[in-house]
Amino acid sequence: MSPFELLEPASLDEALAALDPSDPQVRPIAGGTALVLMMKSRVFRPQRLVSLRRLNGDLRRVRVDDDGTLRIGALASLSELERSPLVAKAAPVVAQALRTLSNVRIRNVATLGGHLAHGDPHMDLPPILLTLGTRVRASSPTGERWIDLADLIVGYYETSLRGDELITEIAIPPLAAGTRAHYAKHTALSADDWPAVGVAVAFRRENGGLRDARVAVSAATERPIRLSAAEAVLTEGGGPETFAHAADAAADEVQTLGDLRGSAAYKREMVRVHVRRALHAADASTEGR
Amino acid sequence: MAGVKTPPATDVTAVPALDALREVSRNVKRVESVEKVTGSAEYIHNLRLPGMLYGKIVRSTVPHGRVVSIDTSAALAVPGVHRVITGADVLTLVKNPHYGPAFHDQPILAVDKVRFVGDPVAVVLAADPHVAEEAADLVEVTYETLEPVFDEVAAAQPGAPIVHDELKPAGTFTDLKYLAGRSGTNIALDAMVRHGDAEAAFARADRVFEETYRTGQVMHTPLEPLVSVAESRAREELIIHTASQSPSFVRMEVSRLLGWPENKVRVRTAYLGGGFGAKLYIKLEALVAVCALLVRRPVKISLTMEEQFLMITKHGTTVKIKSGVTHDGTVIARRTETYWNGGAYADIGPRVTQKSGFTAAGPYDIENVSMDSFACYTNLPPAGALRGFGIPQLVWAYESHTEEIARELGLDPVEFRLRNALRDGRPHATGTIMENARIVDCIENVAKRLEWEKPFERGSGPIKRGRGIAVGFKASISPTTSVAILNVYGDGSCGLHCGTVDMGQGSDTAMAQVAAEALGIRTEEVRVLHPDTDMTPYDMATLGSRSTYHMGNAVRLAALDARRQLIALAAQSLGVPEDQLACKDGAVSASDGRRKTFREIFVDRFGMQAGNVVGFGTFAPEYEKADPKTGQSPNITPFWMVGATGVEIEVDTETGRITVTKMVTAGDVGRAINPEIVVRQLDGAAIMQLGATLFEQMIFDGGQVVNASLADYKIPGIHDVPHHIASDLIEVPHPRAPYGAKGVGESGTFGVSPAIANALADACGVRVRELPLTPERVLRAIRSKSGDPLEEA
Amino acid sequence: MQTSGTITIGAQRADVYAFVSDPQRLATCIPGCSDLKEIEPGKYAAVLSNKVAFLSVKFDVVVQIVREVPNEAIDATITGNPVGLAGRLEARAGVRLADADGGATQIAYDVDLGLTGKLGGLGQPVFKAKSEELSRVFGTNLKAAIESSSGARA
Repeated sequence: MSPFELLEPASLDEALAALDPSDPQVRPIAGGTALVLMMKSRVFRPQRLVSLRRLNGDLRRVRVDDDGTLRIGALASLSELERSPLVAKAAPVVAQALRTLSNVRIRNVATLGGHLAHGDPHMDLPPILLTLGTRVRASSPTGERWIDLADLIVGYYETSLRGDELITEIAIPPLAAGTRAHYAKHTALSADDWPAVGVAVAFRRENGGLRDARVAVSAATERPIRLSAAEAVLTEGGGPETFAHAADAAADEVQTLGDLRGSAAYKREMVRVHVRRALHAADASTEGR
Repeated sequence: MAGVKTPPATDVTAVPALDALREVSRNVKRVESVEKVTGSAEYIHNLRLPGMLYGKIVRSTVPHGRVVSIDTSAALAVPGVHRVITGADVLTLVKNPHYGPAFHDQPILAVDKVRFVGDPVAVVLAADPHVAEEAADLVEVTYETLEPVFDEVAAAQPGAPIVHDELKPAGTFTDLKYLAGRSGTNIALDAMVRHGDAEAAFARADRVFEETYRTGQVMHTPLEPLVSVAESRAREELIIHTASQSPSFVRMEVSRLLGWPENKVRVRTAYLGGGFGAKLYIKLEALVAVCALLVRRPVKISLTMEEQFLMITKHGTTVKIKSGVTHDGTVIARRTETYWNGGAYADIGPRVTQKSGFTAAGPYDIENVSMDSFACYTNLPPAGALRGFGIPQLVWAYESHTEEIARELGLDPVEFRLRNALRDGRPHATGTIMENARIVDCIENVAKRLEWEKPFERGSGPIKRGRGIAVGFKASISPTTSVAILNVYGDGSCGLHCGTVDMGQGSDTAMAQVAAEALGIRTEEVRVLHPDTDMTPYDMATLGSRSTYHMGNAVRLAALDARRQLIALAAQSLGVPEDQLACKDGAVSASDGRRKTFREIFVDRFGMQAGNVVGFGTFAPEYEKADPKTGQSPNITPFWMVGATGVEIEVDTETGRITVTKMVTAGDVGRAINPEIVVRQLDGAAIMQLGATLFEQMIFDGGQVVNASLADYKIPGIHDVPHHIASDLIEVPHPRAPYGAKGVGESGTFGVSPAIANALADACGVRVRELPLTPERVLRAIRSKSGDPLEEA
Repeated sequence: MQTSGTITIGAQRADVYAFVSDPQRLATCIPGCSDLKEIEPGKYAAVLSNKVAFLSVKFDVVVQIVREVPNEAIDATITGNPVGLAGRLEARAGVRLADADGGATQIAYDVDLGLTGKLGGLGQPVFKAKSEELSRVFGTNLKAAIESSSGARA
């Protein structure tokens, strides 16, 4: 690791002021589980790190507001979310995924804001949050804006955040009654590995058909994305055949990237299998009923 | 050490019955438990010395090349850099700076050539490790690149790029001398066994089967990475603190390199955070020694987890195997050709090739056997010993192959194995008559554990279930020597001077139990001193499951020697003949009830609590070197290890993912000194091999390992451990082992890989002949079989 | 690490060849390539800077043309070192030209890239993802540059 300046501001304003939009070597750091690995390998050599560890208050709070929106402070740790009764009630699919996300040592320090801002395509939560219509609040010295999660992660390690913006809150809108959701994580190596393919689905049943069907994938692609062709197929019916067709559509449309967890061809196949399975699993769940 | 001398003990044959034992076979709590859980156990990793410099290694970025120039100016310009050391500096101190246990082929720092991506070229020294690291990236090395060779079979062919211009066998092993001066080859060693006439037998066999099996290169992954510290206070004196499994060897090799007598080099170690063969022979020790001598300050080099992948690995292999079988299911001939991918430096690879190579035909009674085993140099990181010394790769081949034959012949695989199993009293292919090897018992044990006779639930939907077993065996590495000293102090307490390194296997506890049993005291009263060549006597190394047998015998002899001396002294003070005295519970007692505690014996002899009784024990088993042309020997090993594994698995036929739901191990342990620790050893070994079976593999691109981190190279975690896991101890005491106990550190690894592949074949009819059994590899096999192959990668 | 692809360019083979065999012009299409200098005939030095999000890497490279078949093919080797980080980049790149329908020309390219040292060990997944993106950008740049320079003849 090379020498760098470490700031530990006590307020959000100070933290935002310490960032430098013109210098990519100035980075905020929260749990540090991803960034420190890059620093140890010297692939990333910061000039200045702005630690968020002293920031408190709403930035660490999990709450549900009057309209039922689940609001998560960006610095809430993944363990806090795993144990939160509010998360378990409002978004049980998130709580389920957290149990197999890396290991407890990582979950204790990694934060949801960092998980999203890092832009690594191999994360578990982005595809799930994509299917739940999640938005993030980005704060900067000049104000704040809300970004759809789909517009946040734009490439491998790349986000649409400006250099002087921090994610301060994640908002998950209330799920429509009867929403069924599932996350299928496929690991190719050990059980606590990153996903080789992660597939999230959500939909609800209405009058025999499916409504608000969403399918998202991560780890197999350059960035977590929704699969619109598969979602379109799901408007056509609600039986096993539709699920199979949607899975085929997903496999057809997805641009997979091969890596040491599987070739592009294998990952495409896993998208097919896990989209179908996730749809069945969601359908069988009692969640939201 | 002053002591009362009596002739050394030689009695190694009596094995007491279980009910006569008080300390052996007792589940003593590990002696280091409290230190470990409170974080106070000593590790070299935590050592800091006054004035110490940290070294960071500059590594080759080409797989094969000549070093044209090294420009250290930019590195030296970094504030805080003390010095940059290159191969040229090493040469000012060491004329021939090449080391290694089998071949003197590995330079302390590159002299002219580099042979793999990661080969050490220079070391940057600084008081701050981060400064050293920063500067290490600024050393500019220019190479003239040479064509590399990576595959072991390709490397063995004529015309392949040559990794070492000439073979340089070490003098350590006299039977390798014939290789000296060979040039123009990457085959460091070719070992062969000829037994009967395999070719003639193939001709008369009813069926002949031939296949090739491969394994990938994997890493030991000790969670405490390799670390060594050297300091030199006086002119010709060197102290090396190192996380090493073989302090005696380190002293010998560093002394040789420096041209010093052994008594000027002191090598000490502490607890090891895992070893598994990664910390054997000599690794960073010569490098830190040279650095410390050049700068006259203590120097520490501790590898990162990433760098460990460049230090030592487990051989990738290609095993070609051919069997001739009769209609009734008797294997009458087997030929094996094993290619070991040894990487850039031989390390102990030639020993693996030879000592494990001669078991490549399996634990079967086959009349005609031909085995060839080739240690191959390539331009990959070096390979050596990893928990099993090459055996898991061989068992992978012969137990996959054996199963294939049984299935092809329509025979039950358990029955087929039992029919052909090598039984005590029959000759092994080396000519050595098998004895005290519970091959049949181990097979029968796992079959029983799996309820092999009963119908098996096959799964439903995309999940198919299967089960499989496999058995393997291993010879102990020979000839090797262990020496122990038991020092009884004036108050009756004692210290055991023992060179066995406790790296988590529980050897401190086991050795204390053996000493306590022999001396007639409680295990908790024995303090085991950690290896320090100034204080602990010679031990070849902690490797190959040899310590329980070899060091255990030496410790027992040392304790018996001390006991005899104590009895002799007590006989004088009690006025009772020695043969009418018993030694137990820390005292010597006569039949009339009079007794002398150990302390009282010293007080009687020296007039106060003073003096020592020192017991010595040396153990070197009998062994006869094999004929190099035929591999024949009447006594090829002091003892045999046997391990069998049975598994039940679920295969997800849509994803290729294997879940092992049940894994049972049977280990032929002779007798367990501490049954709970032995069970954990077997379980742990099996889980470790489970990783190498299902997903562990170093992946290379142009010689560069691309998954050298725990983020991308995964080892089994708790969720990978089969829901049902059990290990059974097959206990038939070995007559020449201490209290009957054989080594057991590796036996749990032997059968795991083929048992799982056999279960995969049982579940869905596909045979995968290359490790690891990754989901993609399995799915491709399933899809090819069903006529719907997955599109090429 | 291998990438390959084809680009169809609305220009004649001779014009396409003239462009791709001119290092100065070709360099303008390579993302992040700057400071190209001829150090001897057929051998060039350049700087390749690439940014993957907040990670930036700079390589000093030497490009050697190893084979030129006019209007048919060019092969080159690229070797270099990342600035300030131990490692090495070694690549072989090949370009093949063929006639395509309507007087257009098809360029088939393949690049075999090896990275050693820290970037090779830990940056591999990112670079692999990034190299596909870079090759897309290269293709787009090349097509635009040649088509605009050869103008109406296409």
